[in-house]
Amino acid sequence: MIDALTKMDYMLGVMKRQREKLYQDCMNGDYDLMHGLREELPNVYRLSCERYRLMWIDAHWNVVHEFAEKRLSSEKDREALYLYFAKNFRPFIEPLNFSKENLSDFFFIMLRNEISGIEDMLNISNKHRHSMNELMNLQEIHWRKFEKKIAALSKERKNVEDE
Amino acid sequence: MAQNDLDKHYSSSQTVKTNLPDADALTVYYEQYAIILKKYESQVSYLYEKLEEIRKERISFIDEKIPQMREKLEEQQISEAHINDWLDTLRNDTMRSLSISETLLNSFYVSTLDEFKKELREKLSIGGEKS
Repeated sequence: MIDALTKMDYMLGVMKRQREKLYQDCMNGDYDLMHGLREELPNVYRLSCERYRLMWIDAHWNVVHEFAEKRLSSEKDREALYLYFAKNFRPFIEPLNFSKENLSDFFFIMLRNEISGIEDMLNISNKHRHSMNELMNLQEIHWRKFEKKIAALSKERKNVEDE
Repeated sequence: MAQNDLDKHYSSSQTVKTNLPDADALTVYYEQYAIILKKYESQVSYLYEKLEEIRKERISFIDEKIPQMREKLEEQQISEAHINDWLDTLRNDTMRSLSISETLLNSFYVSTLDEFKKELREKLSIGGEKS
């Protein structure tokens, strides 16, 4: 059975890797990030930054999954790690829900979606694997929703310019 | 000194004497403490290293990484307003991530300390029963 120290060590590793990603993406001029930051239209700029940020938050699930698949052979241990991660990751994203930052309603909807996925994982026993899969799929779902929203805003702008 | 005072003094010094652990009990306590501490040594040094790592990372993020990222974003022709906005977001997310990591370590420290105390109490009560 996976011990408390190992679970904590894995989670610390995931958090560290994601912090490093924020820095590296900026230093390496990540295309999506730079494209969003160069955007001049305020709404599109805000949504592009929020999309990058939410993708970064969502990616924590994929990293913890990768850690678990590579290093833990037992399904029970993987579940124990996912539960530990879900319990301790919730306080990381929950403050954003009450943040004074200028975040869009769209971002809040996506965020609540993720918090509710975490709650499902913590509250519904024997459904951990299912909840984990759902949380891992969120990254793609969020990406697509943001894409649609940004495309709609850009189209709106183009129509205004054409008129 | 009045007889009453003398009686009080004598009885209170007796009380103090009886409350003090004797040398044998202290020796057993320190022996057990050292044995258990040895068992937890690797966990203690792990916690110390990780907390130190987080402290250094926080300092390096503010003093080194933020200026480096600002320079990079300026090179990329990002507007000053967007750079400031984005670096604020990065700072908030990074600091929250570091705080969560610290909370994990602190909770682990508290639970390890409880385990340590419990084990010490158990060992001492077993030792007491034997003697």
